[in-house]
Amino acid sequence: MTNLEKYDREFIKMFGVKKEELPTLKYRGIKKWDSMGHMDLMSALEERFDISISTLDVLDFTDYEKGKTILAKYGVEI
Amino acid sequence: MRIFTYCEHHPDRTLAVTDDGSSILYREMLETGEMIRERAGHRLIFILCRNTPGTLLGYLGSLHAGAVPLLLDAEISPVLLEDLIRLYHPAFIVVPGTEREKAEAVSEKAGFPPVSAGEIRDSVLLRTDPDGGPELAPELTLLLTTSGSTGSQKLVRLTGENLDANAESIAQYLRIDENERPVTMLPMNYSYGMSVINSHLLKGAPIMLTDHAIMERGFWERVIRDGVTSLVGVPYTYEIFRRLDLINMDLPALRTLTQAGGKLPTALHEAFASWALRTGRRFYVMYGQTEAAPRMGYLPAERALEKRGSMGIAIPGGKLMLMDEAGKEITKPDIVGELVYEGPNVAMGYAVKPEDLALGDEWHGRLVTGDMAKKDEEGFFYITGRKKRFLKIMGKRLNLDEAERILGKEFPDTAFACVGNDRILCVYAEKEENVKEEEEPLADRWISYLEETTGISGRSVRVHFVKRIPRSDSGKIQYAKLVIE
Repeated sequence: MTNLEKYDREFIKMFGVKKEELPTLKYRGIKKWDSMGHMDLMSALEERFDISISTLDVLDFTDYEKGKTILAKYGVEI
Repeated sequence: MRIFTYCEHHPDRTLAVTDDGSSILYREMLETGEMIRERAGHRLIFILCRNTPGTLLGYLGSLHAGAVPLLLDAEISPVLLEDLIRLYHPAFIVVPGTEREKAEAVSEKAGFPPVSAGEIRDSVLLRTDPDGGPELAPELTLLLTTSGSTGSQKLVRLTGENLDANAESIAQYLRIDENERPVTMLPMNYSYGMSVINSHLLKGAPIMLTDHAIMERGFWERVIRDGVTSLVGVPYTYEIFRRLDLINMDLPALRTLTQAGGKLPTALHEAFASWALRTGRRFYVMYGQTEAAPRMGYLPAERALEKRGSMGIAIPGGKLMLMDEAGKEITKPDIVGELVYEGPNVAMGYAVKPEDLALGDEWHGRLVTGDMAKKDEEGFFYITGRKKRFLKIMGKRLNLDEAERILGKEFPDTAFACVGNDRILCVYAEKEENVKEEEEPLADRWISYLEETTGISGRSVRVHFVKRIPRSDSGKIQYAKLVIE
C-alpha cells in the first residue's frame, strides 16, 4: 500500500466518507469531523505512520489537502 | 432580572468581543430586546444557537424583553425542529444566517410559512406564528432541553429567579468580577454554556465570543490575544487539553479552569489539579443538571487534589443531601443514597406539551437528581452511580430505555437492548441466523438513526449482534449480563 492509500484509508474509515469526497473534506465540514473526530484522526495517523504530531500541527491540520503537507514535515511523503 | 443590573447601569461597556476584534456593547443587547418586544406577537421564541453575536444578542435580548426563549442547537435535526414548531407555535425563530434555509423549509413544512421580520447581526428573526402561541406561566423565563430525542422532547421550565440565583452562586464561588475574560467553548443551548454567559453578565465581565472550535488555531490565538482568564470543559474537552499540551502553553492570563458534564477520569483530574496548584491557578470540578439552571455542587479549588473523585459540596445558597429508599435523610458518612438538592435555582418542572407551559412551580425548590452518591466525614459528596438507566456521553444525556424504544419503533423486526457507560452506548440486537454480511449495513442504519433522533455521536455507539438477549423468566432484560464494550 502506498502512503497515499494509507492516508486515504484513515479518513474513509474514520469518517465513513467516499474517496471522491476526500479532496474537499475539512475539519468541521462534516458532522463526524468535529473536535473529538479530529483527536481520533490525529491518533490514527500517528499510529499508522509512527510519528508524533505537534500541537501546532494538530491545530493547522484543517483539511485533507493541508494534512498532506503537514505529514511531509514528518518525513511522510504522500 | 438581577443579571441585567450591571448592564442597565453601564450600557456603554462591553458585552462581548467578537472574532474580528470588535466590541458589542450592552446597549446593543438592550436595543435588541426592544426590537423583540415590539415585533413579537407573543412571548415564546425559539433560538437556534451558535456562538455568534446574533445568538448572544438574541438570547439576552429575549430575556431582557420578557420573551421566553427555547434554546436549541443550530445543528438540530430538521425532524426534531419540525416537531417542536408544530407543538409549541413560537412567535419567532432567531436563526443564524448559515441555518436560515433549513429553518425556513422546516417552518413551512410545519404549517407556518416564515416571514423575515428583522436581523440581529448574523441572525435573522423569522416570524412563524405571531398569533397562536401557548399560554405561558407569568414567571416562566427560559426553556432548555434535556435529552434531545425526537418525539419525547422534555423541556425544563426555568424562572428568572432560577437564573439569577444560580448566576450569583456561581459568581461567588468562582470569584468572578468584571476583570474576568471568559471565552465561549460550549454551546449556549447547553445549560453549562448558558451559565457561563449569565454569571459573567451579572458581574460585567466581557465575554470573548468565538465561533472557532477548540481544535483550531484561531481559538488559541484569541485566548492569547484577548488574555482569556478562564477555560471550561466537559470531560472530553480535558482530553483535548491534554492532547494540545495545554499545561505547557504560555498563557499568563489564564487563572481558572472549570469542569462539569460528567466525571473526569482520575488521571486527567490529577494532572490538571496538580498543575493548577503548582502554577497558582484554580481548577474546579463542578456538578449540575439543567433542572437546576444548572449548578448544584463544586469542589473548592484548594481541595481539588486532596479530594479527587469528589464532586464537592453544595454551591452557596443550596443544600445537598442523601436519601435512603424510605425517603429518610442519611446523615452518616460512606452510606450510598440518592442525591437530593434544595435551592432557589431548582426549575419549576418539565414541559412535554404546550399546556405545561402554563403550569406554576411543581418542584418547590427541591430536585431529586437520580444520581446515587455518598459523602465523607467532611461532607464532600462522591457520585457512585445512577438510579435510572441513563448515560451522559459528551455532555449529552441519553435515556437507555428511550434509546431502545426509539430503535424498536423504527425497526420493529429487531429486538434491542441498550447498555453503556459515559463513554459508549452499546446496542445489543437479537438476530436468529448468522448472516455476517448483513450486519454492517444494518448497524450503520441504526447508528445513523440514533444520531438523528437523539443527537448522540455515532462514534460513541457500538452494535453487537447476539442470538438471544438474556431475559429473566418474567421476560425482563437482564442488563447486568450484557457486557459494555
